[in-house]
Amino acid sequence: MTGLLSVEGLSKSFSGVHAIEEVDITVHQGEILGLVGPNGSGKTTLFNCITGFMEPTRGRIFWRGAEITGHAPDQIARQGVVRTFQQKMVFPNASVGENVEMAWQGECDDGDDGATFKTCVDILDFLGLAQVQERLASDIPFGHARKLGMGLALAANPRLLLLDEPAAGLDQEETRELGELIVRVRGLGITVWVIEHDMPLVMSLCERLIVLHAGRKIAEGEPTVVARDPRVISVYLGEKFARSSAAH
Amino acid sequence: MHPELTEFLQQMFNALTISGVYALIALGITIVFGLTGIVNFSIGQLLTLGAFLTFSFWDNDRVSFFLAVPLAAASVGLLSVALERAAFRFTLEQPINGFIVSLGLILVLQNIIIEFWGTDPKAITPPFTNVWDVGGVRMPVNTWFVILVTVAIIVLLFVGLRYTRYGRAMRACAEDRDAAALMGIPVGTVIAGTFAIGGALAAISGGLLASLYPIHPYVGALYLLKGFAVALVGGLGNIEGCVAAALLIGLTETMAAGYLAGEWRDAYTFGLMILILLMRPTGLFPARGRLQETLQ
Amino acid sequence: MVTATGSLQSFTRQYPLSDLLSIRLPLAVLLILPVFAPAIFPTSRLLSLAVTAAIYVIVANGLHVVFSYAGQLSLAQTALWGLGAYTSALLLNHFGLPTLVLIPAAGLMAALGAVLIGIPAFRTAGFSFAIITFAFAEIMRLIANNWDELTNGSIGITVLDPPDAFGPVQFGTFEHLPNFYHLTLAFSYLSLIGIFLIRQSSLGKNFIAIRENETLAKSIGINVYVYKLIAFAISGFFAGVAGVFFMYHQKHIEPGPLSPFAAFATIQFLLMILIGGRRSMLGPTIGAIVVVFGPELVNALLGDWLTFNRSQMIFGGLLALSVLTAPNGIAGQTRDGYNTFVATLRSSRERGHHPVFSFLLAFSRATIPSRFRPRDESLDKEAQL
Repeated sequence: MTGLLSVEGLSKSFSGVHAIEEVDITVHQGEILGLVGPNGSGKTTLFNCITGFMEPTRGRIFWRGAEITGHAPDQIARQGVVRTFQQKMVFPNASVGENVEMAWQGECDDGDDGATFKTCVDILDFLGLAQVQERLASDIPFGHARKLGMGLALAANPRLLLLDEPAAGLDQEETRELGELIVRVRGLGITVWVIEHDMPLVMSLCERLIVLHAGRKIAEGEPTVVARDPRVISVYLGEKFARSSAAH
Repeated sequence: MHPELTEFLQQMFNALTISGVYALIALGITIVFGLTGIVNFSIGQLLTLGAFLTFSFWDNDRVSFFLAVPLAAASVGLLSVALERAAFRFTLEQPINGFIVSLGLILVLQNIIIEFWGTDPKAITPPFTNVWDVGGVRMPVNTWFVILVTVAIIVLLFVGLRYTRYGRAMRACAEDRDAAALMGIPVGTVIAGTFAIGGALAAISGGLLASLYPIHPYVGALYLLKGFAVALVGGLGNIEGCVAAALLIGLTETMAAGYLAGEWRDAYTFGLMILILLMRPTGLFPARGRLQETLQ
Repeated sequence: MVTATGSLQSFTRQYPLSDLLSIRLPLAVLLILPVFAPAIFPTSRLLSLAVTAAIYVIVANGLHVVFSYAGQLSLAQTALWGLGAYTSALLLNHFGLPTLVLIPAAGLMAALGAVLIGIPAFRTAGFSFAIITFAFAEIMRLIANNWDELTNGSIGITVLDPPDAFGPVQFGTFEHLPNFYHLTLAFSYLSLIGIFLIRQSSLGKNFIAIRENETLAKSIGINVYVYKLIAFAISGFFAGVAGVFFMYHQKHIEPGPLSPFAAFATIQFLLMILIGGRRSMLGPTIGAIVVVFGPELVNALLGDWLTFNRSQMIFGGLLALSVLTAPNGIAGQTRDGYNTFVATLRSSRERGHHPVFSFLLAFSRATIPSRFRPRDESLDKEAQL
């Protein structure tokens, strides 16, 4: 398998406090990778470092073999690494359609892949937001806003999509839809890396799972295997979940 | 004494005077910002209004200067509260709108001043007219008086904010307005009180300035900018930083104007401010709190 | 009577009122109207004010790009305006260059000035940006004031040799005010077309993305810093071009603290945008016309009660009031009212109401603020659809 993105010995500390320590991760082309860990384990910080919103204290990040450590966020996004946000994920005073148009960057910079979507309308159709495209982004239901947030990232023509807790605040039905949507996104040839707390979603969606704890990677591998890892069970998943997944 | 040393001490004395006045203006700006996130540009016109009210109350010793300044401060403080109640309190959620409101108030207040007092400069005969001459350094007693008053007010403000109930309430509101409201602190009253203090400080600065130099109705803009330079360099919302920055800017400006080219006096201040803000966008001594986010 | 109502009904069925009252027609008329100002205005004083308004439109449209679109509050606009005016005045006096050269030269010079201010200033945001631009503007004014050899210091520059022609347009001795007016007006139209094209382009979309959410804009690949600089440079270009016309119109420019080039004068342009409407393309234009002709109108009605001071006072109050009560300005309120009118008219007609009743209902709903009229939930819902 080819390493699409690789993180080598990445550390980030805030005035002496280590948010991430010596993390090594390789993301493979075409997979859906999960990133889990308790609150404050450094998941979002890791995404921030990869997408250029924070500068890592130590370590290097490679995208398709070329180093991107310390590049500006917009530069990284134009190379195809695009992330979503947990909050403030849309442009509030513009319509849903305008939102996607604002994010629409046309063809990708590197050229060889071409654009995944031909027009903004394609994206709205793909997300199932076509019928609300006239409405103001601040007025649409939360579930729609989440989808729109992902739509903005898709409009930026990603090769790797980093989703930061896409299911947070969604109900069961919406979460199920989201899972299907993520699978469809991968079907477009976009590699997906997702931070998520909803364990059933993670277990059903991800082919590979990485567990962070206190800034360190403590497990990596197939979700069912990771879930049985005693270290993971002790720090994060808890006895109850371990037993129930063992029963399956 | 060596003439160059005399010259240097003279400059120091001048710098100290102007630093005190800048500190007063900047403190008014900084506490209002620290509490509400509103950058109130109309402070310059409140200062001018304070100067002209002091002049009118005093009116060739009809009322003693020592009484005229507090009267002017009280009037402008009241006006400032009225403006907060009528306008600024509706902009607390979007402080940039408060800033734009204050730009509108500049036009209103500026032209009210001109309507009432005309465009001629006004001068107040200082309450003390003798000058101390220490080894060639000329130190007017009135200037010493101004320094004394500014220092006294700064100390009073420090003590007040730290040890009184109102001061504690104010700091609680600056930390987190919603939490303070839940704790039973009357946030609205505290904010109005802060506007009163900000207005009164500007008016006192104006009154004191009027005893040092003749004051014309457009003087507000310049002092506003100096006050802002001080408040920003000190870290908006930080009271100690404000005083330190006032000394820094007062000294730089006076020394540079004294030893380099005097006509670039204001450019030195703005240049220094721009440099410092570029290196440290939140100032030399950034205040901690959510409001700093609006500056980043 | 019956047939009259009947024919009216068939007429309105054929041509729905909403189409007849389409905002495009009146808007087109209003936009063309200024061309005839020299014929309409009885005095050269009014025409001179019209020139001023046209110049303001150009500056305000420029500020619109950086403030309303990109969301960056620049207080250096008047300094950039001054940079344009000084550049063109010096080029004119020393080299006698033609207007055709002066306009791009002044525009580019001011755009360059904006970039030079922007490069450091855009490292900060929000109030810090506003205040740093303010400080730069004052420094530029001090340079104009103190650099005697170049700018003649506080005395200022008087335009010695007025240009004689710009293409077919003669304005040799400034007696040809209508000519000069039409030239200025042409450029104010150009500035309007300019901001329209910017708004439609991907450039404008990027500006608005930055205004709405800078972090999100970065995350989808927009180089926020560069696009802010572009917005500021465009606004500087507009201001610089306006500076040429201002210089021609005033014949004398000086850099005093109360001059139109002082940083505080930027408030005037901010006022125009906020009164006119910061979310509308015509906002700055409407605002400039109101600020220039509003006091004239009041004076015509009330005698010469409204002195310059008093009008400034009122405008300051209006600025504060418009931010508090009508943040979308005249253009925004009109558009909202118009949309309500059309929507109500349509839904009322569809329910089979009498046309006159429909018209009155729609008109009242469009003009009376919602808090002053009884609420009708069902109609509200329909109006939204």
